[in-house]
Amino acid sequence: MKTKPNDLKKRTVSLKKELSPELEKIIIALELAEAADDPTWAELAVLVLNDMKYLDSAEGQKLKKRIRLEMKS
Amino acid sequence: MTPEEELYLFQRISQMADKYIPTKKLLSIHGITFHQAHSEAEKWRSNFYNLLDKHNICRNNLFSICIDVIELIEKHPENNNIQQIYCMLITDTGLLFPKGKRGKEITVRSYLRQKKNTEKLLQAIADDKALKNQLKILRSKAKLKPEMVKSDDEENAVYEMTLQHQQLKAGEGNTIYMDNVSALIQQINGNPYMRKVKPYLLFSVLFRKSGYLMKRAAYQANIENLFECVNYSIEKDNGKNFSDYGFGVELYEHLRRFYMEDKTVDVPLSDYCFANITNLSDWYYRFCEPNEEVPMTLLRKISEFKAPMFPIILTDEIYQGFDIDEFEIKYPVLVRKIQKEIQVDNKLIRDFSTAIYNNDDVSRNIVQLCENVDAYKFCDMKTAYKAAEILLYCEVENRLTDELIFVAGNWIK
Repeated sequence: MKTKPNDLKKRTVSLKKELSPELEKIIIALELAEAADDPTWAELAVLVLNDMKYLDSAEGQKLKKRIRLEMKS
Repeated sequence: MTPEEELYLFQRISQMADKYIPTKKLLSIHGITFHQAHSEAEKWRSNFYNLLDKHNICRNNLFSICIDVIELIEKHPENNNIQQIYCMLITDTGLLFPKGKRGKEITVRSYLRQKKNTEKLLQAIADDKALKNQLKILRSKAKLKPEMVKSDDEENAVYEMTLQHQQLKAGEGNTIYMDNVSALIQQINGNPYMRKVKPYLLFSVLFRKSGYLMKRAAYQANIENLFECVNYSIEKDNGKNFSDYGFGVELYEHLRRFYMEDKTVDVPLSDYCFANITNLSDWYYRFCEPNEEVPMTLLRKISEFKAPMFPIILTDEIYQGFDIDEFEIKYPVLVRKIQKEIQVDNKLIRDFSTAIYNNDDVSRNIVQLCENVDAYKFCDMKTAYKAAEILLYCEVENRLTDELIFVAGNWIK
């Protein structure tokens, strides 16, 4: 048992965001492909990233590269 | 998409990418070669079909298998083989019921994932049963008169910890609250059975009786009452309740972390109490982003382990490229009429289900449904038949999905 209180973590509880039907469909498609261990997951993810402005960011470029390299290896 | 939606999607893709384990690494984690894993996957599949035959489960199609398994669980909830079939079935992402052509690598990856999930699910079912029996013992021991055991360090630490929560901040410098928290800890520590579930009991009193703790000197909680089920109204946010429930979940999560290393506390048993005596865990998983290890009920665990979209009864062959969303936009009244008819006509859905089970022709049911709603008044019959067929399959699939989860209730009766 701890004799000092542990700090309260932030955001243990945050309510789910309401997603637009379009976004929900993209997420379901990605999750399904991923859950089925389908290699098209990578293609699908890259396709989605291509459509997003985050692709322009360094983070987005790195993620895209990682998905391509790691998942298609 | 809005920038917020893009960010959300980006984060989700990043999370999925982080979770992804390349096949080579996956094999080394399991200590197995690719060839061995593939041959085990084949054995896994044949073992599943052997088990179906052993229990005379109708192998006409996925629907008939699911229906028979549900019936068998209801008749023989204790049968280990049937539990095994159930867990293999609902965790399937295409190894047992492939959709299209699958390469060897997908087979291996699916097998490793499914084997792990099946084992975890079987363990969860067994654990749940054992914990349920322990809760019975706890209930019978709650009346024992405790010998108050003082522990200044613990009492101070818990008091300080509770003040980190906005809803208990009023207890700061409040000697009544401080003394009541100390007395509550002493009361729980004085009964070795209650001590095991200290995080749950502390949470219950702090969450439900904070007013008494703050204002009533020498308040003593009725521990026995804390084992009676509490069902909060979780269907709708009334502006206050959801924020209270959020506090409750955070408080419990905080307490379980606090006592995690305490050998006298049985954290799994305490978690079981939290998940099954209150419905705050249900609330959390329904309405919140699950970003912490908040305890789950067995039914929730099953929903989590179930492969997404399982079971797929409404296949691509049935869709045949028909766009039901577009149809609904064009004929919203007809779609509503069909859906309503499906809901009220129990015989129709029963006959339709029987036909699917037996691999029989379902056109009779579809024609009947279209006639019942005068579909010919809205569009050509061929289109109406297709829409009616898809909506019927949707309903059957939804009902089956629910039944596959709720049947697990037989293990927690």
